Order: sequence, then C-alpha cells, then structure tokens
Amino acid sequence: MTVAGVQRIAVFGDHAMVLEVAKHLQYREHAVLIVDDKLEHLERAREHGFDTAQLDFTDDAELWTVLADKATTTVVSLFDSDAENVFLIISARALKPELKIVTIAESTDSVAKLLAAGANKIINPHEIGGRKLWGYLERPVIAEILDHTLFSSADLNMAEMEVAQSSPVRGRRFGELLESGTHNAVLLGLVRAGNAEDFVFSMRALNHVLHAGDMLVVIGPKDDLARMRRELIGPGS
Amino acid sequence: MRPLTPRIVRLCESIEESPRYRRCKRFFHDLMENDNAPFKRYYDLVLITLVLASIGVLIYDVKHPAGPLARGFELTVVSIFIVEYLLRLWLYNDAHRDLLKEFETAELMNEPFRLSPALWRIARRKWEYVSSPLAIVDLLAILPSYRPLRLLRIFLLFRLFKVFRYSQSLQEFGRVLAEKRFELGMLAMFVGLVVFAASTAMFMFEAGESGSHVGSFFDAVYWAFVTIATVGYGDVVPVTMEGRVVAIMLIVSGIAVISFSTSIIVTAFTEKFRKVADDRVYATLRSRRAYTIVCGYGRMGEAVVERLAGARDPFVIVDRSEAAVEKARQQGHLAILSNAAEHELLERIGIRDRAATLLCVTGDDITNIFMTLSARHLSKSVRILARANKKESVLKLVRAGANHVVSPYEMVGMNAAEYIGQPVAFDAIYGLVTGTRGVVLEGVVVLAGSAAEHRRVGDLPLLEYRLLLFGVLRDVEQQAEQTAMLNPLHGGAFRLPASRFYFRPAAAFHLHARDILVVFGYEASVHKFRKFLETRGA
Repeated sequence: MTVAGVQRIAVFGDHAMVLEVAKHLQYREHAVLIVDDKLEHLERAREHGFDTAQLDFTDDAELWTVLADKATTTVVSLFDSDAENVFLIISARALKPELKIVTIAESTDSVAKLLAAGANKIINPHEIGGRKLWGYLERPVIAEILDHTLFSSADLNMAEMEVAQSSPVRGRRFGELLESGTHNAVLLGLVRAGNAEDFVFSMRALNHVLHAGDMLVVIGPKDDLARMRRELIGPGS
Repeated sequence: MRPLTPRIVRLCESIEESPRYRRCKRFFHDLMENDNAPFKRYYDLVLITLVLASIGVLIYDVKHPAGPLARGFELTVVSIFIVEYLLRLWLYNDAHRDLLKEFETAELMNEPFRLSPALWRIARRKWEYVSSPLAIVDLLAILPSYRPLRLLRIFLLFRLFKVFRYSQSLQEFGRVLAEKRFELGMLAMFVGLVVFAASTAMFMFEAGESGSHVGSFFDAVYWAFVTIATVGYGDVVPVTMEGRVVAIMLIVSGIAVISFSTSIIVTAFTEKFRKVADDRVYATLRSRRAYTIVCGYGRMGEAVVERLAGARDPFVIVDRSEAAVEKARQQGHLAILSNAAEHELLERIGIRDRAATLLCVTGDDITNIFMTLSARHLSKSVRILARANKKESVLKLVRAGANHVVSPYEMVGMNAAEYIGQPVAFDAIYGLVTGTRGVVLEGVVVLAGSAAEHRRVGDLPLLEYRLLLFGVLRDVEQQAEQTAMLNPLHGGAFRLPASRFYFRPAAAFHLHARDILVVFGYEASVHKFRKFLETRGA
C-alpha cells in the first residue's frame, strides 16, 4: 500500500544485494518495492516486511505495470552483470523518461556504459569500500568521527535546504548567516540557483547574497535541522 | 647390573647436566645443520670449495701424477671429511639422553636395567644415520682412491655428490624429484620393460649376423638406451631388416618416453617454483616492519591496494586464487598464494609483531570472520579492518575483534538512500569527506603550549583562516571538566571508543592540550592555521 505523496523506490537485481540495500532504504524511511521473477526471493522479501511484485523485467509490458504508478519515482538496479543493468536502465528510461535511476557498477569501465544507458547515479561499492578502508588506514581519527556521527544511526544528518521566495534569509549575505551561529548546524556550503553541479564551499561563499532557489547544504542533529528548515527557510520547503 | 653400568649411567647424567657439552653441541649444530644460523652458509661454502678443489686435484692427477704436495692436500682433505663425518654422527641424536631414558623407564617399571640391549638400541639409532643416503655418500667420498684400481676411481664421483649436501638448491632439486617418485617410478618401469624387450629382440636378430655391431647382450642394451633416449650415437646400428623394424618401434616409444618424463619434471618444478616464489616473499617480509596485509585481492582489495601503492605504503597481498596472485605479481606487488584462514600463514606473515594492519576483504564472510578471530588471537595490537558482505556479519566481525568493518552493501544502500533523498547535500558532503574537491576534513591537534590551549573556541581566528569548525575531539579522561561548560542549546557530544566528539561546541568551550579541532577547509588553510598555533604558543 503506498501512502499518497510518499515516493516509492523499485529495487531490481541480485537478491542478496537487493535485500541489503532495501533494508537501508527502508531505514531511511523510504517506501520500497522489491521486484523479482522468482517466487522464493519475493517470499523472503515479504518476510522482511517489504512490498513485492513478481515480474520479468525483460518484458516491457510487465515493467510498465510497476513504473506506471506515479508514486514510483526511482528505480534501483542491482544486478551483478553490467548487461542486465544496462538492459533495465534502457528499458526503464524509455518507458518513463523522468525516472531517477540508480545502479551499481562492477568496475570503472562499466561506469561509462551505464551512464550512456541513461543512469542518473552510479555506485561502485567496491571502489567506495576501498576508499573507506583507505580512510581508516590513513586518517583513522577522522574516519572514526565520521562513522560515529554522520554515517551512523546517530543524530547527525545531512540536509539540503532550498531558499524559498518567502524565506527571511533572502537578500542576506551567506557569511552573515554563518557568523550568526544561532543554529546548531554546520553550514557546509551552497549550490547556487541555476548552477546545479557547482557546490561552493562556505568559506568561498561568504559574500554571496542569498537568492531564492539557492540550496544550502548543512550538517546537524535531526531536530535542529528541522527547526532550522522551519525558521530560516520559510514555509516553501 | 654389571659393574660397568652405574659408571656409564653416571657418565650420561653428567653429560646431560653439563652446560659446556650443550653449548658445544649447539655450536656445531648451528654450524653444520641449522639452516637459519648465519654461519652455516660460510661453512657450506668452505666445504664445497674443499670438495671441488680436491676433485680438481684428483682430475689433474689422472694425467699428471703429482708430487707430495698433491698427496699432502688429499690427506688433509680426507682427514677433514673424516672429522666431519664423525661430527655429524654425533649430532644426529643425543645418545646419552636415550640411554638415560631407558634407564629411567627401567627404574619406573621396577625392572633391572640391562645395559647391552640399551647400547644395542643406541647403536641402531646411529645406524639410521649411517645408512642414510647423504651419509653413505660422505663415507664413500672418504675412501682413499687406489689409483691402480681404475674402477674404484668411480668413487671419486661420490665426492662430487657430497656437494649435494651443502647446496640447498640442489637439495630442493632432489626433493622435487623425490616428490614425483611414483610417476618417475612408473616411467622407469615402462622404460625398463621396453628396453629389455627391444634389446632381446635386437640381440636375437643381430648377434649372429656378419657385419653386425652387436657382439654381446650388453651392446644390445646399450643400443636400446641410446635409441630410446633419441640420442642415436651411430656406433651401434641395426644391419638386418628385422633389427631395423625393432629400431623403428623403439624410436616411436622413445618419443612417448621423452614427453612423459618432460611433463612429469615440468609439473614438479612448476609447483616447486610457486612455493619458492612464496618462500621468497616470506623472506622479504621477515625484514620489513609496519606493513599492511591485504587478504583477498578482489575488487575491494584492488581498490585499497591501488591507494596503498600510490602512497608507497608497504603491503603484501594474500589470496586463495592463483589468478589473483598472478595478477598481483604482474602488477609488481608482493603476493602470496594461500588460504589465508590458515593459522600458520598468519604467523609466518608476521601478524604478531611485524605487520601493523590486516585487511580481511575477501568476498566470503566466513573467511573474513575466521581470519579476524585468528589474527586477533595472535595479536592484541594489530589493527584489523574487515569487509562484511552481509549486514549480520558486521556485528560478528566486531565481536571477532575487528577494529573497523566496511560493508559494500551498506555503502550502496547508504549512497542510494542519500542520493535519492538529498542528492545535492550528499554529493557535496561526500566530495568534502573524501577530499575530492580540494576541501578536506582534517584534525588540528591542540598541542601543549600552543596558542589554542586554554583558549575558548570562539576566540580562535578560524574564520580568518577560512576554516569551518565541525567539532572537537577529546580524550575521555578530560571529559568531566567540560560537561559543566556545555551550553545545552549548542553542540552535543558523541561517544567514540576512547574519546568524545563535541559537535559544533559553543563559543565558550575551553580547549585543552591534546584536543583535536576537526575542521573543513582547504589543505593550505589548515596548514597555515597549524603554523599559526605553533608560532603563537604561550
């Protein structure tokens, strides 16, 4: 059962990975739909409390039954082989162009192929895992801090907050906001309206005047972030 | 008991207790038998030279009967060999200990101790040595070469075989062949049968003929061997048609024999070389310190190794699959082929005292957990980072003793979830945390006596230095004083294993020595700030 307004994520792929990832998605309070053609996989998924759908992803008609639902905004493709991922991505992209597609890559060579197929975000788990291990090796203190704060179930979250038309901070200098320090959050930086790819570190954005559509990137405890969102940004977000 | 017995027993006891005896024996053992001792190599070298020199002299002597100098040299060399033989006989076992053991057993059983059977048993033990192949070679090398008897000159060759004992590589060679003795034995039997049949046939067809080269049965055997080995000197050749037919059949089987023996030897040596390559890696590692052991050269292992290699940190790779080890070696890395879950491997590879970090990053959780446990058992201080392929394994790995656990599925889940929820923030923060945008997350230590000690956080010129404060990390012991200072509206403390992390502390937060300021900023800014703290020290 999907709740109105909640975005649903459809997860395809190799069963073990699908379950693990689905658990994380659900933990972060997303609605998850697990898709597979094998009954026993779906049963296991249901035991874990997930919604399931049985279909063969290679068949466009069947795929459409899942994608047609407006609530399904994202597809996560977790097949072990690039070929299957590419197939699903191309099919899904063709059926619903506005879909957000996340997939995993086996290696750096795969990344180009998956991008060409139309994926929005490509995750290379081994590369990321390797990088994390490297972090532990080279900068253990920092890695541990991050583990216990940002990357864990502890309080610190990251958030992006869009400056709305009605926001009280419109027209103020970013540096002013930073210095005022009335909020228990670290203002990491911002993405200016219209420059979606360009993240500007806060130390370089001190003189920037805030416009509507600018996106602030912050880190802080969940409740403080919620409060900040309400107070500073205004009812827009 | 005979009157001799108590005296002998007492003699053995005094030997057993004498430290000088033990030191003496150990010295000779280290010199002659202990591969790990430094002197053995020199001893081996000296003896090889002696052996080769004596053979050289003897060879020269064949054509140019030498004078007293050569004879004197030969005498010296033979005396040295005799002394060596006796020393090895002594080193072979501790005879006095065996005797004492027999005596004590007899006492225990309340039986009369019988000297002669005990001595007999000891003699049998020594006979084990005397009848071992290398000892026989030694003995034959000592036999004086009676020049008039040409046949006995063959015993000179045994002196050459003596070199076998001193050269480890030759011994390895011997061992390799010994490992394949079943196959080689089969081959020998096959060859023997074929040669016998062919020689007999050849002899029967050729012996009587005129113009034949085959006079005796030995000639036929000689010819058969020369043919089957595809050597074909041409001194003995078949002259009859039947003989030639036999020759043809022998040549064909010769090809089979050659291929068979080649393949046996090649396999034996390939396996050996693999082991030798591994042994060389172990030897290299023995002299290294503080390196990282990477168990599992899969995709994650490769990702870490790439970074380790880039930073020139020493490491060694261990993997169960030949392909992975081959790949690693081709890339120029130290690699060992082994099932890393073996206890022996972890010890050999230096987990106790030489390695600083162990990475258990195979694709199988059972292996990772077992390896973590074994390693932690062997060393309390080594840092263990492990990979968990399933979520449930994370806790198991921590319990097994891992310091940190990385889970690829978790990374995918987290990345996917954050990307879906807030892509901009995630991208930005991830870039900062991994330092891929030039901005880094670094720790600046507040040293005793520096400008920051005892100052309030709010007083530090962080903004001036373009640094964004994330938080302050403090050792646990110093916490107590600080909690009183915490403004409930700000910050918040996070518990880490041995410390507390204060997120975004209030301006009034007092800094102590050894606190770490965790800041976001450009590398250069962090560097400048560190310099500032040092120079403005109180």
